[in-house]
Amino acid sequence: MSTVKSILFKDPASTESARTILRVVILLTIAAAAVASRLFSVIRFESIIHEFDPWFNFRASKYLVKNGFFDFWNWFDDRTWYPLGRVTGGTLYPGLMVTSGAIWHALRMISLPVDIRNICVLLAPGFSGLTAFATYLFTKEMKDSGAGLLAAAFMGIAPGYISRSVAGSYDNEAIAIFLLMFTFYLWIKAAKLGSAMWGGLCALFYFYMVSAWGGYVFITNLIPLHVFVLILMGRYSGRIYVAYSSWYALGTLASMQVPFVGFLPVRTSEHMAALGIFGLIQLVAFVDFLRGQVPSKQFNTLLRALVILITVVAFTGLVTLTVTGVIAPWSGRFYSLWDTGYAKIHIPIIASVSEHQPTAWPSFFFDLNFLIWLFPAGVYLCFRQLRDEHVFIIVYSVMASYFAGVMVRLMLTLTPIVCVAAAIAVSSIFDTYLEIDSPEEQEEDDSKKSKKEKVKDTTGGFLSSKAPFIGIYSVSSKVAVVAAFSVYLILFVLHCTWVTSNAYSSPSVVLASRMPDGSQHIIDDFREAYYWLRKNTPYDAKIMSWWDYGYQIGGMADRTTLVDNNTWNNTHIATVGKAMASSEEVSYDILRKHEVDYVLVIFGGLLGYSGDDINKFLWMVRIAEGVWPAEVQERKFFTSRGEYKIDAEATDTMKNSLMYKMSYYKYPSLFPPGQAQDRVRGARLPSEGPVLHTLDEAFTSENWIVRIYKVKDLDEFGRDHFAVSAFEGGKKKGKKGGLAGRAGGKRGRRVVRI
Amino acid sequence: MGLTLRSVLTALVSLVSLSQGISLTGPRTLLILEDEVKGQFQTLISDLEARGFTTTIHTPKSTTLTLFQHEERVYDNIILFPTKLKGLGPNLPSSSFLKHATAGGNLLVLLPSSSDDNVPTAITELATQVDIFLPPKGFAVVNHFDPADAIEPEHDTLLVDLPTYPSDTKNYFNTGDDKSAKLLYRGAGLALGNSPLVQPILKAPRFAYSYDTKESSSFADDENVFSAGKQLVLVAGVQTRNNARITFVAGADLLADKSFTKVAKTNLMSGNRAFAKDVTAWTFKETGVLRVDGVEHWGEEFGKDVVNGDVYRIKHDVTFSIALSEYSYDHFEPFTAPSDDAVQLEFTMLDPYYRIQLPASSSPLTQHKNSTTYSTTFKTPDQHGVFTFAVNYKRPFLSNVHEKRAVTVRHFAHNEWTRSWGISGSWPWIAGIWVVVVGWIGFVGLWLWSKPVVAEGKGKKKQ
Repeated sequence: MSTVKSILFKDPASTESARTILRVVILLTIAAAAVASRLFSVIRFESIIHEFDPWFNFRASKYLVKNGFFDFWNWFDDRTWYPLGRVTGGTLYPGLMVTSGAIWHALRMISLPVDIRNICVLLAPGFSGLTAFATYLFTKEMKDSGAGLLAAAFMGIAPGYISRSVAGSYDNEAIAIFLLMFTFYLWIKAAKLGSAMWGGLCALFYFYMVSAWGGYVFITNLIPLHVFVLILMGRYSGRIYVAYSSWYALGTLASMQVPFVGFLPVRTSEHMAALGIFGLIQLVAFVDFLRGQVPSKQFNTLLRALVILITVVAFTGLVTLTVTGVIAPWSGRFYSLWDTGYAKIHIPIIASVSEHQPTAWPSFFFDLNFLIWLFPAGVYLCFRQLRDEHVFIIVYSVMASYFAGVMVRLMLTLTPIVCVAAAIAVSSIFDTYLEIDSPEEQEEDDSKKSKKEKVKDTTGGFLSSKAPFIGIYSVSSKVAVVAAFSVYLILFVLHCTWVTSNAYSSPSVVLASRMPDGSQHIIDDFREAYYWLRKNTPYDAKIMSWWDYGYQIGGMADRTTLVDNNTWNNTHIATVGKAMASSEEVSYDILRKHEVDYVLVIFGGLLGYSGDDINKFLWMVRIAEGVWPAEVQERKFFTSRGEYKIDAEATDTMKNSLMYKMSYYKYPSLFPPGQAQDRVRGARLPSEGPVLHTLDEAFTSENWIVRIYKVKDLDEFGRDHFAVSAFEGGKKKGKKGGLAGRAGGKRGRRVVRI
Repeated sequence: MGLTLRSVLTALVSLVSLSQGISLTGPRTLLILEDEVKGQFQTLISDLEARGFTTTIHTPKSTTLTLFQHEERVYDNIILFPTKLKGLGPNLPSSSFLKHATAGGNLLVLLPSSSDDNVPTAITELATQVDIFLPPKGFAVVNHFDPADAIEPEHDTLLVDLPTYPSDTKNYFNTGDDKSAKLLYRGAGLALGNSPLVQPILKAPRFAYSYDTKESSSFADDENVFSAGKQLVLVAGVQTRNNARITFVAGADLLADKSFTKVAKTNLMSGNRAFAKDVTAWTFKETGVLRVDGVEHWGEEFGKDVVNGDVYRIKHDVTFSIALSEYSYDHFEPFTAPSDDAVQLEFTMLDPYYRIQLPASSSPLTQHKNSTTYSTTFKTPDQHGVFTFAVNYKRPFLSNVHEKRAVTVRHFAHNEWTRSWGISGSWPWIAGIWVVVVGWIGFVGLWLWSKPVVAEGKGKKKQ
C-alpha cells in the first residue's frame, strides 16, 4: 500500500500526470452524474418540454431551424398577442435558440439528424455538465483544483440549479448559469493577469450571456462592484484597469448588438453602475499616473479632491438625466428587488408570478442542503486570504444572498457561489484532516513530536499573519471529522437525488398521481385538450385563456392566442382579465371585438388540482382593476365578511363572472343533487349550476382540468343571446305583440324610422 | 358523345334561365294554404310558377309536412297564406320557421286583411323574434282623407303610393311600368322594433292609422290606436345575418287577385301586380343580392407579383380591390352603388385605422369582367399587428357584404432601415469615428516608426 502511494505521490512528474488524468476522469464523472441526475423526468414521463416558458423557446427554436437565422432575427409573430402581434425576433434573448439551432446543424453536418425536440429537451442537462466544468475552473482560481473538483461536484447536483435544468426544462437559465460561471471565471482570470486578451474573452462570453438571459444585469453590476470595492480597498492596479476597461468597452458594444438590449446599456439605470465605474477607473488611472509623475503631497490631496468632485458631478448628472427622462428610471421589476411589497401594490402582474415571491427559509435548505451552512465558512476562508479574487467571492455572496432572499427565482444565482464557497470550506477541512492519507510520514512523526509546542505557537497571534504550520495530530479527531463530513456528503447526494426525483422532475404538463394500489396514474388532460384544439379547430382560430397557458397553446395546440407568458402588454392582459371577471353581457362584446373563437379555462375542482384558474382569478381581477377601476372591483368578489367564496354564499359578481360560469358550468350534474363538491376549495356548490348564454361548451378533458368553450356567433335574427335562450327555453318574449309593441315595452323606446 | 350531351344540357339550362327568373336560393316553394284561400291568390301563384318556381301546397294542419329532412332544408321558399285557424299545425311551430331561415331559406308571411281573422300564435311569435310587432285581432288601418272607395263607410281600403326611399337606398319595389300607380291595401299594419335587420318596405300614408275596430267603431282615442302615419308599416322585410329573407305583408289582399284591378278613383290599373312581383322577387332573392366576385390586395413591395399575400410592411402603399356584382332575376350584372352611397374599406386592428371610400375603378380585376371593381390605395399605418381589410357593406334590401381578409403588417426588418450614411445628420458622427480611427492608426504608426531619442529620454527621466 505504502509502496504504491510512494510511487504515485512521491515522484512529482508522475504525480502531476496522474493527477491530471484523475482530474479529467473525475470531471467527466461529475458531468455524467450531473446529466444523469437530470434525466428522471425523461425516464418517468417522456422526452417532453416542461412547464410554460420552455414551450415558447421550443417553438422559437423550431422556427429558427425551419426558417433560418435571418427570418428568425426579423420574426414578426402574428400568432400571439392577437391582434397586436409580437416582434419576437427583437424581443427575445436568442442565445438559447441559436445554441440549440447550432447544435442541430452541427449534428446534421456529421450525419446525425436529431429531432430538434430532443436537442431542446437535453440541452439543459448537457450544459449542466459544462457548468460543473466552469465551476471547477472558477474555484480552482480561488483555491486549488481539489476545491474545484468539489465545487464542480456540488454544482453538478445541487437542487437549486437542478430545479431549472432538468431534461425538458428548456429555459434561458439552462445555458445562462454556465455562461455566468464561465464569464466570472474569465473575469477572475483577466483581473489576475491584467490581460486584455482574457478581458476580451470575458467580454465575448458576456455577450453570449447577454444574448441568452435577462439575468446578465447581474454580471453587469457585479463586476463593476468588484472593481469598485477593490478601488476602495486601495487595491487599484494596472491589471484591474486593463481587465475592466477591455471588458467594459468590448462587452457593452457587443451587448448592444442584441436587438432586445439595444441602447439599454447607455439608457437605463441598471447599467449605469458599470458606466460610472468605467469613468471612475479612468480617473483613478489618471490620478495614479500623475501620482507617479509628481510625487507631491499637496498635489495628491488636490487630486483626491478632484476625484471626489468629479464623482459628485457625475452622480448629479446621472440623477438629472434620470429625472429628465434621458436615462430610463429603474424598472418596476427592479424596484420589487428593493421593496418586496412594491410589486403587490403597483404591478400586480409581476406579483402574480409565484417565482417572484420572497423566498421561504426552508427552501434554502431544500435547495442547498448542507452547503448552506458551509457557505459562511467558505466566505470566512476567503476573508483570511483576501486576494483580489476572494473579494469577488465576498461581493458575489453578499449580493446573491440578498437577491435570493427577495425572490425565489434568484436562488438560481445564489447556488453557484454557495457551491464554490462550500467547496472551499470542505476542501480546507479535508486539506487539514485528510493529511493522514499523505505518505509523508516523517511529517506526522514531526508533528507528533512537537505537538505541544506547535499548539502553543498557534494559539497566540493572528493566524493569517503568521501562516503557521497547521496540522491535526489526533487520528481519532481526523477520523471523526472526515467520517462526519463523508456522512454529510453522502446525505447531500441522497438529498439531491431525492429532491430532484420528487420535486423538480415533473413536467407540469403531464401530472402523475398514485392509484390506491400504488401504481402510477398519468393525468394527461393538458395535452388531451391542446391536441383537441389542434385537430378540431380551424388553423386561424383565436383562443383566449389566462396568460399562463399562452405559450403552451402556441406550442402544443399551434393556435393563435391573445396573451401569453411574455407579459409585455399589461392592457391586453387586463382586457382578458376583464373578460373573465365580467358578466356575460360585457364579456361577449370583448370576445367579439377580439374575434375570439374559443375560451379555455383550467378547472381543478374535480381532481383537486390547486393551480387552476379560480385560484388565480383574483389576480385577473386585480390586473383588470388596475386598468378599469370603475368596471372591475376586487372587493365585489369577496363576501361581506371578506371571504373568497365559490359556494352558495358567493357574491353575485362572482357568480355572474364568466370565469365562474365557465368553471362550474354543468359541474353539479356530475354529482347527486346537492352533493356537488369542489375538491380544491373544499366547498359545496349550489345544486343549480350556472347558465351560459353566449358560450357553448366545446370540450372538457377527462378529469375536467381543461374546459374549452366556443364563443357563439351573433344571432341570425339580431336578437341578443339572452333572448335566444329565453325563446328556446320556452319563455315567450312579449306574449302578445299587441299594444306592447307600440311603446316598445321593456326594450326601450322605439326609434322613429325615417 | 358525352360532350355534346353536356353542351346540349348547358344550352337548355341557359335557355331556361333566360326565359325565367331563378331564385338564388332555389325554386322549391312551399305554399301553406287552405283550399278555400287558394282561389284568392291564383295570379300570384301562377306568376311565381311562370318565373320558374316549383310549388308544393300543404295545409297548415298537414301532418305529412316537414320543413327539414335529414337536417336538410326541404324547401327554399315558403309562403304562408292567411288562415282562419287560431294555430298552425304541430309541424309548424315558430321555431321551425326560424330554423328554416337559419338554414338560408326565405319566408313570405301574408297576414289576413280582414280584422275578424286570427293570426296564428306561431306567426306572432315569429314576428316578435325578428322585432316586428303585430296588433291584436280586430285592428285595421284606415285613412279617412284618402280612402280607396269614398262610399265605403269604414275607409279601411286605402290607396298607397308605390314606395320611395332616400337616394342612398336602391329601390327594388317600384320596378313596374307605371311608376305612379297606386296600391290597394287593406289590413292591420305592423310596428317595427329597433333591430337594424328589419326594414320597412311599404309604409302607410301620412294620415292613416291603425286602431281597434271592435272597441270603437266610430272614433279612435289614444288607448286603442296601434300606430299611425309613416311609423305604421304595411310591408316589412327582414334580412337575417346569413342573408335569408323574411317578409311580412300586413294585409294579404295586397297580393290577392281582387286587388289586381282598376282603382275606382283614378280608373287606372292598380300597381299591386307589379308590386307583388317585386316583393316576391326580393323575398325569394331574385333581386338585391350582391356577390363578391373577387378580392385582391397587393403591396408596393412586390407589386402585382404577389397578390393577396399574407404580410405587408408598415408605412408602405397597399392597393385593395373588391369586385361586386348584383343578381337581377336571372343573371349577375355589375353592381353600382347608389349615387349618395359608397362602398367603404376599413383597415382594422381592434378599431379601424382607416375607413376610406372605395371608388369604382376603371380597371377591372382580371378574372371578373362582369362586375364593378372598387379599388383604392393607401399607406399602411405605422403600427405592426394583424390588420383586417374589411368591407362591411350592409344596406337596406341589399344582401350583406362582409368581407374580411386578415393580413399581417410587420415591422421593418433589421436590414430595411436607412443605412447610417444615408442620414445626413449622422455625417458628423461618422466623420468623428473615422477621424479617431485614422488618428489612432497614425499615432500608432508614428509611435512605432519614430526612433526614440535615447539620451534625452534618459535625461528627462532622471530629472
